[in-house]
Amino acid sequence: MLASLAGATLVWAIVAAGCVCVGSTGRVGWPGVEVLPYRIEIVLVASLIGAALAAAGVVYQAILRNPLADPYLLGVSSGASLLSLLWYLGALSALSLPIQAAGQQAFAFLGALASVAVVFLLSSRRRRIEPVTLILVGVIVNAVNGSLYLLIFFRHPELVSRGGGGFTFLVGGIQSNLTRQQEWLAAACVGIGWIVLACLSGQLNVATLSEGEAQGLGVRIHRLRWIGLTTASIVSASVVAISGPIGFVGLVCPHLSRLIVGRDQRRLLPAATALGAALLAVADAISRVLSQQSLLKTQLPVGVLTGLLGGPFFLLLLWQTRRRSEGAM
Amino acid sequence: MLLEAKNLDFAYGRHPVLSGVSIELTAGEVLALLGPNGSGKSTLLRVLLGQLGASGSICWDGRQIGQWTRRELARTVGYLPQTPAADPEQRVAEVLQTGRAPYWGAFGIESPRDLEVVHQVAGQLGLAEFLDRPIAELSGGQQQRVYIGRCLVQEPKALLLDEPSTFLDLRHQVELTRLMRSLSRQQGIGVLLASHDLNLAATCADRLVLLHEGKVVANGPPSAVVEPQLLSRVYGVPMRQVETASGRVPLVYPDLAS
Amino acid sequence: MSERSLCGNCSFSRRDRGIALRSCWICLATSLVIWSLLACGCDRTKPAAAAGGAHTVASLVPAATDLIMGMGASNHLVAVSNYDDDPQTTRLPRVGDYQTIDWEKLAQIRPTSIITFYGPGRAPAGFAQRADELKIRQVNLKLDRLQDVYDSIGVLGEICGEPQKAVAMAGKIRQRVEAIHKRVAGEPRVRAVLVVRESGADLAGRDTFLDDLLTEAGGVNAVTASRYVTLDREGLAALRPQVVLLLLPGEDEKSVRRVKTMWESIAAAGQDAKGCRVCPLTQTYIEQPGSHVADAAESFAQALHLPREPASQPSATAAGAR
Repeated sequence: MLASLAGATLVWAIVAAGCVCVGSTGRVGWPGVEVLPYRIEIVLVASLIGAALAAAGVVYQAILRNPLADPYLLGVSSGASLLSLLWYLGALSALSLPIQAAGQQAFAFLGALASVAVVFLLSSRRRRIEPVTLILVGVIVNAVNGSLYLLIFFRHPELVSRGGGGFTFLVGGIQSNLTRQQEWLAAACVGIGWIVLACLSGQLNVATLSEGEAQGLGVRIHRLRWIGLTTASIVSASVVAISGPIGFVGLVCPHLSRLIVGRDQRRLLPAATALGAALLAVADAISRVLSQQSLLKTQLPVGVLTGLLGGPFFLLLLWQTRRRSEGAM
Repeated sequence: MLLEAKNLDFAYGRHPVLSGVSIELTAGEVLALLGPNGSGKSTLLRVLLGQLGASGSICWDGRQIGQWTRRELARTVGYLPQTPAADPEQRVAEVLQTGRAPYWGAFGIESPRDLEVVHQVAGQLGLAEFLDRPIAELSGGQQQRVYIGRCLVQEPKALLLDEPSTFLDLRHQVELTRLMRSLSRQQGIGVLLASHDLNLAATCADRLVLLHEGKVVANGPPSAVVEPQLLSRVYGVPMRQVETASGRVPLVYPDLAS
Repeated sequence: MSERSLCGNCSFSRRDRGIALRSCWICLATSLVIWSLLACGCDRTKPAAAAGGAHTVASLVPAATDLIMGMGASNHLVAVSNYDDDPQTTRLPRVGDYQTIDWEKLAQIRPTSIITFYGPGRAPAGFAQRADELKIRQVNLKLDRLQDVYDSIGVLGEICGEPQKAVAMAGKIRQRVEAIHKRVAGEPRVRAVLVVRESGADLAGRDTFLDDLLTEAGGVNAVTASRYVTLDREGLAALRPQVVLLLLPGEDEKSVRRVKTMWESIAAAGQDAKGCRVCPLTQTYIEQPGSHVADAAESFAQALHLPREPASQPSATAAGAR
């Protein structure tokens, strides 16, 4: 675990340094003093989001025993979007002052957690949760959240316009108007959450076995599911609150890392985290550079780029692995 | 006394599965659990491990089950279910390493002893040359050995096996039987295995326990339990006994003629 | 020895190492390609030297940019919004819009003020924090009504340090609008709707500056709801306006024709079969609360009170007489 953590951090640091070198002003190269703090800040925020989503993805896939699980399966993103829209609604109402004071990000965070709590509540029986039930209930809750969202949106289409970052929040883009406090808070949540997940990573290796075997190997499987899923949900909720749902990272980074470091969760967690951080930092760097090319009117939301970048790369790697294993037979 | 369980009652909902079951296991003993489908063998194994809540008392190594933590119990008892789950692309070494989970520290950090034990067990079971291969590439018998190896790296005092020879051919069944006996004799491990195969169980076990509809109907050495009338009643099939040389365990077979 | 394969954290087989190596190469190659593309395409224009002196303005609102240029204070403008289409601003750096803001560029440019258009209670907290750090004055404009346009001109004049120019422009616009108002005062009010997007179903209601211009031009809005509304076909048919003003700034022929046909069919299906005139207006300034509001009012007035069109539809005056 320590060796892979060190190696992963090193790879991320190199990629991050490269991302700091590009931006919307000036040539490719180390930036000047006035611009440097902004570059560093945006690269760190992008890395934080990518790292959180990838780590959450690893844990979700291990506990739900499903390779297609991603951090949004249990309602984190749909809940965050719904409540952030309600924040706009609230900002116009009589309660505007306290609601504005709370901030859109806090609302989004609460929405994400509330949605996950509902999923847990609906799918637990006698304080135990089964992966298949969770996934089904998650799909249902996501659908309901989505419909409520559309209902409110069509009723009040003017809500999202003239709001700071409304649309990019909804399609998944790193907000450019976050307060420092919000960024530090998200970093703290993710940091503590990650340490908890790393602590559980040994047990996650066993979680992929059947219940009887896992318990036979000394793992309290039900407690692991509760703690693991709750922590992973909090970690992904903290970053969805500041960026909206950026897709693909949480799904693909665990698989990509698995191809490189293998299946052991103790190595997979640091590797996927670093890969997610690097991927999102690069996607964000590209979107920042594109914004200066005047190819597009406005800065492309990062969520669009992660799909374009991650998808083909993953397919290539998968195709190669399959070709090798077929050749070996 | 490694295991002492008294008066176990367990029901799934309102459907009773075990009633008043008492069972004991000593170190170095091979105990075979027999009974038709639905007699509660698999359930009994899980109940003994505390995975299913049942009334009655269960004592492992002199301590009540409630006083054991999961990790401590995993270091004392190894469990192999009927269909072990494993990722087919996982390598044998990794499967064996997973068995050391009860000994891992925080963050899943392993100690050098973990690697030693895995090595040792691999050598003991003849798996040393397969360590790097994915488990899916091995034969059924070899795979079963790997899973038993995963139990053995837990360094247990007792092994609970749920129908370990179900998917094995005759040769591998016999090999497994020999392995069980050597583990119990040489390492003093208490082996409790649930089995469908009457005769094989009879040859390898020191004691047999026969379950019928959740109750223990016989508990004793093979010569006492392998009794055609009793078995006919339990299995619902007429049975006959084959005469064997004296001093050997009697064999039975279902009598299709009558 | 299989010892190596069990080493704590790296049980790599040869196959795995091959895959890892290959993926590293691919990573490296991709990054090189990307970096070289970036190096070629990098923006080489330096931000314009602040000719505005002590009062430099970054405007994230195209309408505000238009007002500043209209009053002759464009030398104070140092950055514009991503959506600014004005040909005079092509050399200026784009620093964002109401969705995202490019703080990096702003840190380099360091304007004294920044103009935004956030709705009430929707200004993000982080925006205030960052603008304060860079010591940029935050000016949030309201451009909902015609009166807001006059007020904003004053505010913009103040932040550009050109209050006289602002007063002059505001006075000129007010004069023109009042002249239009007087000219059409004698005529009966024409019932009209203002279509604001090429879907044809989005309309400007009361309490908007478009409605204010319509009123000054002698019209009355058939839509009674406040702000902007979207109606279905039934709702559109129920409005029964005399004139339909299609505000489609910069749209191409095809779209304009499509919306026109849509409204003509709605009008034809109306039970009273009164004449209804559909007038497309495609000037780029027609919807903007900027320096050309007087021109927009003039276009409205002409469209509302025009003598009959040489078309098969009955004239509006004849309809008015019925």
